[in-house]
Amino acid sequence: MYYNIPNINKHLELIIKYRKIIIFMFSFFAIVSAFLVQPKFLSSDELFWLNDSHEFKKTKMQNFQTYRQSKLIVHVKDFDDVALGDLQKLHSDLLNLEGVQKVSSLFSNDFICNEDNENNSGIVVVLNSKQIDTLKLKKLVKLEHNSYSNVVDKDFKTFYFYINSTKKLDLSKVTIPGKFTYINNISEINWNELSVFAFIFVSILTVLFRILFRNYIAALSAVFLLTISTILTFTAIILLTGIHTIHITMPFITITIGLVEFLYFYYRWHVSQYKTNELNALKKMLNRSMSPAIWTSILTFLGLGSLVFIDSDIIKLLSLSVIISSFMSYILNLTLLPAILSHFTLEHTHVPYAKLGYLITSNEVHYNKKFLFVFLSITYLLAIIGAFSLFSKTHNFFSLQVQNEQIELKIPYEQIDLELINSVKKFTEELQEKFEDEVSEVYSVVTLIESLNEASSETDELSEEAVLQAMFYIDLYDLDKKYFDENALSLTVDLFDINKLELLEWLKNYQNIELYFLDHNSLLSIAKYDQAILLTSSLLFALVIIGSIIAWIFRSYKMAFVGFSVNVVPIIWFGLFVTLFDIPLSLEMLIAMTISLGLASDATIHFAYKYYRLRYFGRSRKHTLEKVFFYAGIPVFIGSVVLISVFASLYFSQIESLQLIGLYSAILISISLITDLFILPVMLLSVDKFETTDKDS
Amino acid sequence: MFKLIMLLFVFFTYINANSSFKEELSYKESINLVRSIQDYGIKYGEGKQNVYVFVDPLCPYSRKFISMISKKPRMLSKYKYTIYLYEIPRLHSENTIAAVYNSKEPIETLLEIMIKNKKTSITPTQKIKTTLNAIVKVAQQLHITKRPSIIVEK
Repeated sequence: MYYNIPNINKHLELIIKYRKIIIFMFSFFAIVSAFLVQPKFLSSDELFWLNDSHEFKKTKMQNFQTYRQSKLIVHVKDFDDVALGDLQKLHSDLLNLEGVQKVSSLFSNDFICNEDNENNSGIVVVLNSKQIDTLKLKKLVKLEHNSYSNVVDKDFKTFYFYINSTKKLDLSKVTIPGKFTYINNISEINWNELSVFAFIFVSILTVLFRILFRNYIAALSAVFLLTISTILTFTAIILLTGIHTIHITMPFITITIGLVEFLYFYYRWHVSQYKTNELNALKKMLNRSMSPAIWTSILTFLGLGSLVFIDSDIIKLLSLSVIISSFMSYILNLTLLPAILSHFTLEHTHVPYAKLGYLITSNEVHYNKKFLFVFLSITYLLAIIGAFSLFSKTHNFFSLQVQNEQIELKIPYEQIDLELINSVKKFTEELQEKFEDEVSEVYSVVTLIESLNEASSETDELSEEAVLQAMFYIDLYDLDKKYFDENALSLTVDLFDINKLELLEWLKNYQNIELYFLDHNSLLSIAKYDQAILLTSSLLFALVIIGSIIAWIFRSYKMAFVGFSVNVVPIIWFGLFVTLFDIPLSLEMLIAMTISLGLASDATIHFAYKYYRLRYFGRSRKHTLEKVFFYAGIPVFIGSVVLISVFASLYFSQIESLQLIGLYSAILISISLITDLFILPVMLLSVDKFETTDKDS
Repeated sequence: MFKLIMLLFVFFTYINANSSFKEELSYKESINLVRSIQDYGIKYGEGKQNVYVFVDPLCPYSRKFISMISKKPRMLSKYKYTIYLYEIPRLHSENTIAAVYNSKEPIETLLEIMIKNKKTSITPTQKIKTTLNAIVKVAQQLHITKRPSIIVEK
């Protein structure tokens, strides 16, 4: 309990006696682990997501080839014969690139018409854009621009090339006319860039710790501990789960949790140096910090433990990285840290910035209950609205607005006949009716058969005879490979401006025909969306568990409310921020929320533990709060400043996933810090069950 | 009286229009019809799926069609064509058609005329006229107006 002081004398004696062995053994284990149990940092995180994807497995079961999809946007000054030639050549060059399976552009389009304008001919002609001159092509496209809006803009200056490939493309050897933009949604990990960010992290840590603690011991021991903690955490995760693939963002979770835990211990050692006995600082560091630290680990374990049983590698890894890094940090702070610090004594231990805590205390101790009530009421109102929106209008919450994109689908068949054509036609009509202008065109063998029928007969109605005749023309013009293979039809949906997730969900749940997604962009979006829903629900559940455990630790049901509120406040206000700026909920956001939750729950325990302990021993509310700020507030403040700086620097990364994690985490940690400094102490005062002394008044 | 005459006029015009309205044949009926004159058709290709084609050897579109299928081995191995020579009156191809039917290897002659632009013609014999009449009769029943006209059998 919070009023007990653990006896750590024997433990400390052992640590000091074997301190060199301890340092060597941890270093040795870490090095051996780093060499023997190497995680696979995938060059791209797409397979990481796809491994968990039900839709991806479904597609693979059918032996359908899946593709990466990238988009090349080319801007030309004038669409003349020269530009036409260059663009046609570009289309051919792209098709000839290694790994390219399909290129959709204006130059892959087939224009179907009757040979004779007066319709005397019974032969249908299929003209490829390559066979048409600039003027005729412009005329044909202008006639039906809606059908071509995804491949060319109205002004004939911007052309879109959608490339399906099985490999990452190297466009360096392709001559691209005019100005161009290449959009490849799959982020590749750039190890050089990551090394730069690691360097930035170490630099920020060293400079800030040097300024704040006036020594290099803090930074060096932090880097050493965090390195060992990260290596051992991932070794443990790999050995426990057998999952070797590690998401690029996960080390940020372990480093964040490790750093904050380290600071609670180190700071206590730093400020306890003034006593004559050298061991005193180490004793204080251990016996004052170990109890709240183990409770934070237990809290993390119980709060996020249930997530480990969810059948998803990503969620397993996320939750395990938080839980194991928390326990690993605890072990290292109890053994390795005192072994290192026992070699040093400090001269400059004065912390002038501690006065800030006294300033805040003097204001908070006379807090206005009405303000607290109003603030919490607004927060909970927002929480209710948020929860309602999340579960009732899921698509709006997890929106993925896209423009000029494509979705590639396969529809298995046994025989191409009128029945199959009609079912695909019905699907196409339902899709276009549901999404109207948001979907610009749906291309399939049905579109082709309809065009062929329109060109060869006077009726638009499809008959068995018309289908057979169209199939004959498909053979005659070798169009089959474009639209179907031996056992499946290909279907391309051109998206104009749409919430792609809503469409993907609709397609996923479409019952009348079997649909399989081929492009990795769609498969990834579905996988991320599914995981995001699961993780959001799990995070909400974790919040309730955390609140309950805090109530049990402090034997006060009011503390459940404090614990829940302090953890939920950053998430809710961050939710308001993203809603105001219309930012869709994403997995990166949820990882940032997991980090924030880990930090907020740690802060709650450390603050509350110190508060309850000091109040139990009869300190006044004001004095208690001053001490809480001094011993817990400052480490939280320092840790948060370091983390905010590091995460903010990630925003300048080239990898979109890292950019988002950086931005969201920096914002969330900032809100968390404000909550810890201004809301948590006031809430602790409001649920204070101890008797008020004279000094309080 | 005038009103009655006008009414009768409208009624008979309607009846006349209806009787001249093309009666659409079902797909099965169309196939049965083209099959009924199979012996008069010129066979081309070795595929399993039957395709019945009405062409005029002098029609440029028909020539393009025959040229296209003859150049594609897949079109000859997948489909078996029964080619009916059906004259477009304005092209006056009756004598050319007669030359094809009169030759020992009609398909070779037809390909030479249609692809290599060989010029040949004879006055049709009675037997050839019977053949042509049978084709015309079926083509009219099928309302064939364009060349080439293709009917693909399932």
